[in-house]
Amino acid sequence: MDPKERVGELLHRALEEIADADDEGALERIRISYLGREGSLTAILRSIGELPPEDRAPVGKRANAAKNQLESALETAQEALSAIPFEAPVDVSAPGLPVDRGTRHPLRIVLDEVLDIFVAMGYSVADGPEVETEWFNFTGLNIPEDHPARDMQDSYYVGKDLVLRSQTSPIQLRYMREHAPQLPVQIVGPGRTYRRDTEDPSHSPVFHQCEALLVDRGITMGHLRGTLTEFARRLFGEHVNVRFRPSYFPFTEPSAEVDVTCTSCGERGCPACGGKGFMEILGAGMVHPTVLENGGYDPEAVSGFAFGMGIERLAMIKYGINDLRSFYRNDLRFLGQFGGGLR
Amino acid sequence: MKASYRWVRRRSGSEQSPEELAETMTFLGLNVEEIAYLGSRVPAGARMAEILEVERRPDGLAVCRIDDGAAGATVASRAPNVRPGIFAPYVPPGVAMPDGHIVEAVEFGSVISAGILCSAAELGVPGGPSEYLLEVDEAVPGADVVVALGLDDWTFDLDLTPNYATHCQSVIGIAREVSAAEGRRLEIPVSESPGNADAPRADIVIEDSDLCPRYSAVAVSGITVAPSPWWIQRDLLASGVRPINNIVDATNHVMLETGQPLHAFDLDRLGGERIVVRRARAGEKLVTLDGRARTLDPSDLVIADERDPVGLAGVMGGENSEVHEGTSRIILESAHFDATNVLKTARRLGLQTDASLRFEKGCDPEATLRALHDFLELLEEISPASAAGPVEDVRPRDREPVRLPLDAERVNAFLGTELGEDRMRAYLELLGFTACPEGVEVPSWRADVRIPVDLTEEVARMHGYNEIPASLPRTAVTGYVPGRGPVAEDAAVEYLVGAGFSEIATRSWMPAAYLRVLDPPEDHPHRHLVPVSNPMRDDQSRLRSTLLGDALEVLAAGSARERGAHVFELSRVYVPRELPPVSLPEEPKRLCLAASGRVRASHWMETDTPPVDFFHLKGVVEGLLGVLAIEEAAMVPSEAYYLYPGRAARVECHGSVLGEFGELHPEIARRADLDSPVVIGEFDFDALVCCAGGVPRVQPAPVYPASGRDIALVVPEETMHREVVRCIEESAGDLLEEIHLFDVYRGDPIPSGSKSMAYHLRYRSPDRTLTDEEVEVFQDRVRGALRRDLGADLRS
Ligand SMILES: [Zn+2]
Repeated sequence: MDPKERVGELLHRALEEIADADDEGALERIRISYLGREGSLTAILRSIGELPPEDRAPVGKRANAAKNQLESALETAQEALSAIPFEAPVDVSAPGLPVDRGTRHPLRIVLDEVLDIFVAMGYSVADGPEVETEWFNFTGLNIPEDHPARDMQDSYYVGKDLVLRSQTSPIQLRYMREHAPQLPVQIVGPGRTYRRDTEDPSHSPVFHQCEALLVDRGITMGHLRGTLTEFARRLFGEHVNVRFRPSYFPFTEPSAEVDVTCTSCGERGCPACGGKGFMEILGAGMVHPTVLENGGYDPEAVSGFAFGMGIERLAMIKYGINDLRSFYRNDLRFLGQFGGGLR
Repeated sequence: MKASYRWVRRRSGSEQSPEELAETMTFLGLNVEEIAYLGSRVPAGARMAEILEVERRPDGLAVCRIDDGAAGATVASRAPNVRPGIFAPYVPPGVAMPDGHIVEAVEFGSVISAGILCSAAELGVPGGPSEYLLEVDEAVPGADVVVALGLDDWTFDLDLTPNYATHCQSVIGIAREVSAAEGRRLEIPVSESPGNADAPRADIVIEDSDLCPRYSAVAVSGITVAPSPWWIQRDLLASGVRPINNIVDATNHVMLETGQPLHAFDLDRLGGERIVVRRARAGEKLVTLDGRARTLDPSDLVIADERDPVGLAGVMGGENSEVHEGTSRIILESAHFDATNVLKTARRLGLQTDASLRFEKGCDPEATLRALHDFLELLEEISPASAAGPVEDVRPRDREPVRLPLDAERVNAFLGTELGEDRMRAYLELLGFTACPEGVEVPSWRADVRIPVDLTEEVARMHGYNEIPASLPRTAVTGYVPGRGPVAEDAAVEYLVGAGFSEIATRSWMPAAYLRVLDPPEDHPHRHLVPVSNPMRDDQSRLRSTLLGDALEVLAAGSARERGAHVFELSRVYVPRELPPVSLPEEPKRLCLAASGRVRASHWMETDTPPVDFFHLKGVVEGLLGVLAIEEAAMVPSEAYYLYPGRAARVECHGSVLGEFGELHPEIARRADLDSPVVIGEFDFDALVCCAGGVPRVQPAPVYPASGRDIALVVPEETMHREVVRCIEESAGDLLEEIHLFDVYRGDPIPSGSKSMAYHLRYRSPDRTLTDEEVEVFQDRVRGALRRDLGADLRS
């Protein structure tokens, strides 16, 4: 056979075999049988020298072209065989497999935030019983015998001389009595408190408070203002202002109600703040000398401030909730909303 | 209490607007809760009219010709006081009245009445009398009613704290504060009427001078009882007090202005002319002015005639001596009573009056005479023919004024200010404090100022709380190291939230309904409840001993009922030490876990999401124990009454019970009306904290490969996983790293009463690669032990 025809036929057969090959091993076998040391195309290339001189160039040219074509066909087939087989696309709009997460209760979220602020300011967290003696809940806090808070109308009693604490302030007294004469006394005391209020959007017979107390030498009312300003800014944001209104609590003197810039209107006045531009957040004052004495400290030598805030109230302001009872209804659709967001 | 803006302005000389004044008062500590405009409901178009002529018809109707500053009109009226020469508010036809009806011209026989002449009530003044025409002596016909009648006034509703209630329950008290804030000291002119020696004399006997340190009184004859002039009625109405008659109104007017309550007794209705101030006799009765019969107690102080009580001192007068239309002689009382005693009597009888609200806060003991003279001065205008007798003032003891030191340095050190002593004194003098050798003398009306820090407060208040420079204290920061409790609480909450449980907050009560649903056995600790002596509702009558009731209630309600829920609560319960409690109960912290519905949210890729069950909750509990590093905990069958028998576990550690959990007892589920599967558990959080481990001890990651082997055994149904594990652990040797139960199978070909359990065992040496031969030795030992100790039939 004419060597040129022979090259053409080999090439044709090899390309057919490559097209039929369905794995890399088959391709390798094809390569060896044509282009290997003993391969048929290699044999032709090797035998070119034996051809008549006038045939050498055209046959050599054709055989080399066939070799190149074969190599490139093998490479293409190789690439096609090693490609990853892709699966059909999915519906990316279908729901993902949910990661079930619960939520902390909003009252815990707010309380934790309050505690974090005070702990960062050097306060320790203190604790006390919810069922208190009348002494710790009233007498020791300078609440006189005939004060309305001591009335059966206002506080829950548990047998004689025992009362469900009507504020977290007994924590102050217990802590001072345990630690006197150590200085400074610098604590926050959170917990449940109880008052005989009929439930309505702003009252609950069971609610939560957090108390703070700082006693040391040279503590002033200016320090109280500075501390509360710092606290309010950390809780509600850099731009809130704090204002004091004179008030009365038996356990502090002077006493003040403390307002912060309304978070919904920024002091312009809106329905949320009753047009006042400010919202009341807590009661504060300088610790009454009698309370210091009852705590085991000498009011001539040390002074202190204290304040107490309602956690429900803070949470209502923070989240724009207008019914305190929502916190106790435990509807999971309500609670589920507190899972996200940065502070 | 309520106060009239105009009255306060009149007395203080302030020129602030109502809003400004309210703000000033608020920053003085007099909390203004609400401001109401007195003339807010006056019909537009109402104007003053002079009554020119009156024709009384036989049916009592008065036909009046009036000058309304315009064309004039004819108006019919049934008011008893309608007469020529007076001026009254007139509303022409076409105007809408406060009650909504439109005034129309009405025909009365031959007369057409064009409009109406109004009473105070018809003008929409709250509390205004409706039975007679509002009349004044002088006005310009056609003038605007609101201005002409002084209804352009605002009523402040004050919520006074106890310290300001001592001296600010009066116009003068408020005016004094406002003047001081404006830099003026309020001067009060003292009126004095000499009294007529010929008129009757009040004869006063004080039997208990502790409860009544002072009793001033005067007898007045020649009284005519009638409605008060409008200006007095107006002042009262603007202060939220209803006008009654001139005598009662005058006592109220003086009380509102001075803060000193007065009371008028009808002298002719007293048994004799002597007034005795004494304690009530046990069982003595008095019908008070409100018409109610009161049984008195010796702790009550009464005003009596020679025989019977005629009034409850400082609280309310008696019906038997009430001033009425025919009264012509009175005894006017202006006394000082012990604050606490008035409070007790008022509380005991559930009777709160304007007088008791003032006495119980502590009135000014020096105000009795002044108030009495103010009354007599008013009387000259409202009952000109009356004649007062000599003023009696019985005062067994002189009052000792309170004097306090003023240490400017201490005040500044306390407030963080740098005020000079002169400035402090000036502030105090504005409020009526005076200088004295000891420092400062407290004015008689300031019962709230008793110790030096009270002066500091006054200085701060006058200076302005918000003017005190704010600074941060420099205290030695000790740094808070939270105890194990708070750390464990944070860790547990974080874990549970991550595990899909939402935190709930419920109240501390144990309603009877919870006891009915749970129905704990007799004498179970859940039945030992701290009682509340004075609940407001039945469900508040006990404190809870468990969180289970609340958790079930949450699962049975709302969205949880429809879709299921995973919830937890970490809160205290209350355990009495004895009943009835005399010492503080224990308040252990409990953790309650409860879940209903399916183990996780359903999803289109998982068509059959399994319902919650014992092993679901057990997994959560195991995770919690892991988070708290409680490694020694064991789970054993529990017989807790609230759990499904045989599907309940108790968690124990070092001999103490950490808690119990499992599937809810079906009877409780039925009583709680829960139809979807429920798992629940309650843990003693304090015990969990106690058993919690510290920082984990860690090993480097293993270097040599592990060798795994499966082993399947057929054992009797009663054989527990725990026993298999123990048997394997004891026989496999030290190189056994993990035992993993991967299948439990019942049914063909396993004989009934038996089950097949398949375990994967993993061996690893820390210092070499184990050979198959070595592992086979371990496995042989394990198989031998399982056969020998558990009677297991080994399949592989
Ligand atoms: Zn606002």
